[in-house]
Amino acid sequence: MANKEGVIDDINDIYESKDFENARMLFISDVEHILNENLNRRKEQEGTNYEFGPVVDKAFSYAKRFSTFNSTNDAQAFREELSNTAQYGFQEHEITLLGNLCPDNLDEAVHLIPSIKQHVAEGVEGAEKIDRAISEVQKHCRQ
Amino acid sequence: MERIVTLPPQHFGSGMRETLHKQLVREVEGTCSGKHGYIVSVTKITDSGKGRVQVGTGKATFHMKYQCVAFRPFKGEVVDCVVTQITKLGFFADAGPFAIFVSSSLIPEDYEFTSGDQGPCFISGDQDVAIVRNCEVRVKIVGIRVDATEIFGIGTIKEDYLGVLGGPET
Repeated sequence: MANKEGVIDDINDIYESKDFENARMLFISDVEHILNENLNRRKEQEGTNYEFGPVVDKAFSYAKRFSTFNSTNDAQAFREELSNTAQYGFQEHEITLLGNLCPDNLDEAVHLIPSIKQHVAEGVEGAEKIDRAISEVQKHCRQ
Repeated sequence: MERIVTLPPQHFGSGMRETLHKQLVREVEGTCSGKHGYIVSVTKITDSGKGRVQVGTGKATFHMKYQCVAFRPFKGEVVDCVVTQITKLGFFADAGPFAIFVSSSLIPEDYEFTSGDQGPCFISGDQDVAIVRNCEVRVKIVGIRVDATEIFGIGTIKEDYLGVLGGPET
């Protein structure tokens, strides 16, 4: 739902918004990797004293502290596995939030990511799908 | 995303594209808009544009297209954050550049505010859990306010699976 300034409030609305047409959602681990590479490259180009500005530095500290995947390969494998539409049918934000929040069980996943309820409504198959997704979280994420 | 970048004539010539890239990064990284949130990193320039010289100034404008990493919170989203300040009215926490306030009315009722030797904190009824400065908290965003330069959120920890995740980082 967009507020009166046209700014989208609800994450489910971004799929239809032109503002996010070509956007992809990243894991916090992806952001850590990108910012780390950026920092190293800029230190090479502009000198070892190069530092991020305050906003970017806050984002980098946050990404380092809350990064969930063991490695970039784990993040990629997790995304590839859960992007299998035939097997899971998750929306992009559901995959991203599963990877960032690492729920331990079905109940927690449904509470933290409300749109996942629609998969549970599919019945036993839907619940098993989420259980498999949670197993993937435990396989690839730091506990 | 797109932006028009203006370059003065002393930068024309070899190395101009690199100067343009740096100028774009300087102008865009760290800024915030209501639509896209905080721009945290310019990752790729997809089109620098051809450049048009402005009459009178001699500067050239470039219509640049680029990809970036943006931090954009949404209402209803659950985020992990770090507590920065605690008062009896509630606590402030940061999710990266995004600040969230959790009012005491949206903290579970058994938590009590106390101000002791360790500083102000909220302690749970069973004394097992404490919300202290620099601890990690899982918060649900219930409201977002956008102004020209920042996005500010209101959060709650009064639901299942929300609250303290870990202690302060040492």
